[in-house]
Amino acid sequence: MGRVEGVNTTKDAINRWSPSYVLLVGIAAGFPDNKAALGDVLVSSLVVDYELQKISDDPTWWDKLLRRQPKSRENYRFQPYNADTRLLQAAQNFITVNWTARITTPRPVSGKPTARFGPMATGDKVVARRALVDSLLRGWPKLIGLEMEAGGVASACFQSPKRPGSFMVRGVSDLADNNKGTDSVEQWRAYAAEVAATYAISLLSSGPLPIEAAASEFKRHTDHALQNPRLQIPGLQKSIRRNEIEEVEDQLGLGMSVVLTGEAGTGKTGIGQMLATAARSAGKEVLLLDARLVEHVNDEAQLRNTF
Amino acid sequence: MVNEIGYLGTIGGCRVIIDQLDSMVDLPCVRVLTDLATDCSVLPGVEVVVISRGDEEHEAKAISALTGKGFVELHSYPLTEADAEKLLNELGIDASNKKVVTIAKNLLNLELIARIKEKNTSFDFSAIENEIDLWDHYVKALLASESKGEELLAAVTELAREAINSEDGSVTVNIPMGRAVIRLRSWGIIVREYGRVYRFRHEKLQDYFYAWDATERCLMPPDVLSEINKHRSMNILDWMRRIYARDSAELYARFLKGAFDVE
Repeated sequence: MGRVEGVNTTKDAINRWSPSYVLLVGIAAGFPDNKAALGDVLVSSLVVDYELQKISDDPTWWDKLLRRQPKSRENYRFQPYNADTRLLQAAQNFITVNWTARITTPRPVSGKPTARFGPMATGDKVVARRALVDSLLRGWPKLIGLEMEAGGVASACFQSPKRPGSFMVRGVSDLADNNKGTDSVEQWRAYAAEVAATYAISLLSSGPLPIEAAASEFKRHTDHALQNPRLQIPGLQKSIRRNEIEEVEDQLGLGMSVVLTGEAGTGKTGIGQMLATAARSAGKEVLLLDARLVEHVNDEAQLRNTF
Repeated sequence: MVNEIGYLGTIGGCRVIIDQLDSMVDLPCVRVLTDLATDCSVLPGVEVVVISRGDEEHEAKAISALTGKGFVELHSYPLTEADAEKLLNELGIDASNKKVVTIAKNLLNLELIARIKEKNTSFDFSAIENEIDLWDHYVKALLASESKGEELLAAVTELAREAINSEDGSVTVNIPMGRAVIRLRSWGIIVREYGRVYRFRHEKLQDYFYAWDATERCLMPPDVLSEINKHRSMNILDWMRRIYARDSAELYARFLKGAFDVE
C-alpha cells in the first residue's frame, strides 16, 4: 500500500469516524539484530520515516584527504512519530499469558510469539536486501522492524486537528533479507497476521482506553431522558405499578433481549424509565436512548457522534 | 459504539433501552438503531430493550427485524377496568360512567382526566362519551381555566407545528419566555429538554393540538401534507378524521375524499 495510501485512507477514516485512536495492525519485516524473530509481535514505540533523504555528490573530509572522486551518498533525514503514550504504556504493562492461546492459525515452527517493543522504520520500499537494513540500523540502532504504511498513518494523525493517537502492532512475516519470498518465509505470513490481530484485540479487551468517557456520555444522556418521569399522574400519591416491568426483567434475566410493544398512551416510555432506574440501582451502566433525538443519523458513526 | 457498550457490559453490566422507535417510520436511523440493538443483544453482560408501537405496517416491519434475531416481544397493555376505576376514585372522580372508565384505561387519557380535575375540581366527567370528547374537553378546560386561554391555545398549536417540522421533535422558545410557555409547562403539555429547548410531553398531545388546529382551519389531507413531513402525518390525519367525523358530516366527507386523492 505505501505511505501515500496510508495518509489518504487515514484522513478519510478520521474525517468519517472522528476516532480517538488509530491502530495499524498487520505484518512487517523484523530485524533479528534486535531480537525480532519470525512470528513475533512488534509493538512500535516510535515510527521512523526514512524516505526523506539528501542525495548528494559532496566530498567528505575523507574523500578530500585521499583526493578521490566522491561517491553518490544518501543521507537519511529520519522523521520520527511517537506512538500514543496511553496505548504504549498499556501494551508495556499488558501481562497476560492467555492471548497467544487465541491464535488459531498453526505456527509453522514450534515456539511462542514474543512481544518486542521499539522503534520501527517506515518507507515505501519492499525491502529484501540486508544492506538497506544495515544502513537504517546505522542511523537508528534500536529499530526492531520495518514496514510501509505507518509513516502515512502517523502523519495523518499528527496533522489532523482532532489529533487521534496512533499506535502500531505488527506480526513478523519476514526478516527483510534475501529469503523474503521463499516458501520457508512465506509460510509465516498468515500466522504473523493473526498474531498481530490477536495481540491487538487482546490488548484492547484488557481495557486500556478511557471507557469512562463513553460511560459518562451515556449517563448524561440517560439522566436527561429520566428528567421527566412518566407513570406519575397528578393527584395520585404513587407511581402506577406496571406488571410489564417484571415481565421484561424476567426475560432479561434469562438472557433474552426484549421488544416492548403497545399502543400510544399505555405507558411504554414510563416502563422504559423504570427499567433504566432499576438497572442503575443494580449498578449497571444504562443507555436510555430516545430515537427521536437521533432521527438524522444514517450510520453508527453519526449515532456515536451525537453523544 | 457497540464495542464501548460491549466493554461496559463486561465490567459490571450495561442495559441499552431504545425508546420511540416507531416515531422514525422509514428513516435510515431505524436500521441504525435496530442494527445497534441486535449487535448489542449478543454481547455478554449487555441487556437490550427496544420500545415501539406495533400496530402499523412500518412498525411491525421494524419489530419483526428484531424478533427475527431472537428478541422476545412483550406487550404493554392498557390498565384493567378495575385499576382504572380505582385510580379514578383516588382522583375523586365518579367512576359510575363506564365510558370514562374505559377511556381512563389509557394512561395518557387518565393523565388528561387528572389535569382537567386538577384545574377544575367541579368538572362533570359524566358528559364524556369517547376519547375525542375527552381531548376536546381538555382543550376547553385549558381555555376556561386560563385568563388568556386563546393566547395559550395559539401558542400551543404554533409549538406543535414547529415540533412536528423540527428534525428531532423539539422546539426552541424565545427569551423572555412568554407567559403562554410558562403556563403550558404548568399544564404538563411541554417539558424542558435543555435550556430553551422544549418538547411535547407526549407525541400524541403534539399531534392532537396540530390536528385540532388543522380542523379549525378546515384543512384537508393535501393541505396538511404541504405543511408537515409526510412521515409525521399518519397519526395527525387519524385525529383529524375523528374530529371531522364528530363535528361535521360535510367536512368529514371532503376529508375522506381528500385522503383517497393523495398518494
